[in-house]
Amino acid sequence: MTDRRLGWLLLAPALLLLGGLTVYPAIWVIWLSLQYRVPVFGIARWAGAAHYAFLTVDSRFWNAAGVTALFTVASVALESILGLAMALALRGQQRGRRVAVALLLLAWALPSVVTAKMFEWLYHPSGGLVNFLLGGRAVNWLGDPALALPSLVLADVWRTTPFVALLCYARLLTIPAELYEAAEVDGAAGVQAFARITWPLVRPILLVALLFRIEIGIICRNTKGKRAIFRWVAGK
Amino acid sequence: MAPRPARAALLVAGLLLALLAAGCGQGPSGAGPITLVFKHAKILGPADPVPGLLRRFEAEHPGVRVQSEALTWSSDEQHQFYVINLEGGSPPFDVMMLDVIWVPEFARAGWILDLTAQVPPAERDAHFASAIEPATQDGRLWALPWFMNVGLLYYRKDLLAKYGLAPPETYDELARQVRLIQAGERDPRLDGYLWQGKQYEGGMVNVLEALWANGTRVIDERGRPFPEPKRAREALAALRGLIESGVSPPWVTAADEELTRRPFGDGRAIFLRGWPYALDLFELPDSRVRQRVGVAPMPRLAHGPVGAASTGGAHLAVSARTRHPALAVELVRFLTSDVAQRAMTEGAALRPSRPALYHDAQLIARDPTLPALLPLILRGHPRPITPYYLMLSTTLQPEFSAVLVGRKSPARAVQDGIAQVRHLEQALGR
Repeated sequence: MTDRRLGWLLLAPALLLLGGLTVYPAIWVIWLSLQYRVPVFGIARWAGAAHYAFLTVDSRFWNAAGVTALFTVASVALESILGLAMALALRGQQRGRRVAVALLLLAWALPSVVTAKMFEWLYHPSGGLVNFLLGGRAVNWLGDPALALPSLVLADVWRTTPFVALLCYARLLTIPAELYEAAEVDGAAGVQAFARITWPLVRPILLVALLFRIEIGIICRNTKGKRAIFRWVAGK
Repeated sequence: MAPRPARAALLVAGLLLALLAAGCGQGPSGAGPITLVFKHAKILGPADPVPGLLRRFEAEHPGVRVQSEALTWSSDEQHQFYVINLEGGSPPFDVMMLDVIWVPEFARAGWILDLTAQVPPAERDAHFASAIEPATQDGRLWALPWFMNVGLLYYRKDLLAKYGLAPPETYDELARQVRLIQAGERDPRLDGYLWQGKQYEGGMVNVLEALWANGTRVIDERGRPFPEPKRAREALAALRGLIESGVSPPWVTAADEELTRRPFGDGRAIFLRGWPYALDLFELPDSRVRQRVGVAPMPRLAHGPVGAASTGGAHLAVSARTRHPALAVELVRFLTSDVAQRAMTEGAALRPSRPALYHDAQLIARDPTLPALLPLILRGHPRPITPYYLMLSTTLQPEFSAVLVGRKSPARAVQDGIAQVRHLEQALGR
């Protein structure tokens, strides 16, 4: 009983902090969504469900929702497949592993604003490196509605695959070598070893990584750093 | 257990606040020199005239120091900076440079001082009417114009002369000239007409100009969106048509001013829609189009006039919370005066908001483009003058952008635009 109370007591600061940072703003946002608010002009009136009623017929909202779903599914799928492949390759690598890990970390550690700006320049229609490497073609990567979303998915995959790769790699390192040796003795190698040993052990950590990614995939569309680049898609 | 740390925390918070206040404030009030803080964007051009003007103001007002602080580069970020600081309480500046489209908003929000009583009518009327009009609300004057902008059609004098052409008066004519010159030059890298179709305020300006060029508006004086939907559809279809017909390259849908100014400056386009600042850059000694560029009024569509270009520019206003209102107003009047605008025109790539200076022989010797610009400015249109302009613009930009990239038909965009503006008006209670 006292242990239980002590447990709650120790949890209390974290719960309060999380509550203050997530639950309170969430409720506040819902409350605000039921009003007309323009603070600059002192406008604050009750709106009821008017905003939600408008959303049901707002083609821009449905387009944005669809684009968000597509973006999340496509980028998360690519990131997990490539991330796991990278982790496996990293484990098998004999030399230069530290350099490889450092390079992966570098891509992930770059602030998202920097990554967004970098890709904006890479994709630049007349001065971008991508078009230059394609032989001076004038492909409008971010301006062409058919290309904008794939281009952004690619940028996100570049940035986030290392995160998934490092998580998976860390898990791979904890799998004891004896397991594989024992499997080999029993005649299970290659694909079988992957399916029976590696995959079941990596799966939980991959799930954690995916959850993280899906959440961020949705959130980052509203953050300032990426807004510049995401705005291309959201409105179109 | 609780009270003591709480009190300590309060004490620390109080100390921090005091430090902050001391840091932001203007030193001890009363005694010592008075400091005015002037917030403005960096002035480009051969020689920044602002420091010299401020020293001169200080010399004329002993005991006053003017501290000049730079704003961030992009207009959207400047606006955000002002809103955060002005909404938040005591803004750390006295005089501010405003984009002309924000003046009605800031006046309605109560953030800037009413200048009506301090500015004699003659001083007000010395500026372009199209610059004073947006600074006036309910018959009161809220800001004074600092410099002036207007949309221009840049064209390659050498190329048009080679084919015996005069600058086009209509978009159809422009398209014909582009085809003729491109066929004759046989240069695949020579684009036709460059303009700004990206989803931002500049893109909005380009669409507004197309609407005016077809004799219609985005909202009428009663705030109704698209009063003549048929003409609005035609204008949007004409812009999209420029891209579909190849008169403009497809990347203009992602282009801003600089993205279009550079290729034209490299000699890779025949026409460009731009602001006057580019004139100075095209005439630099190492420019590839030096002395080959002319300016003309913007072309028209079926139902509108020639030269229906957007005006723009910057105004100076005084923060409503300034501690030295009289001095701050003095500074605004000085910086927008004949003398100061002369210095601005000579030192920076900016055009004055006083028509008289466009006839001044001495100034014309320094900036020979002035006489050509005057009639273009006089024909220019201000963007809709309403406190809600920025909301209106950001509401409609996605609709226009969708048409330009070919994702929506003009009819659908006008229809959706009307619905979006009505929803906005509902929020505003109008």
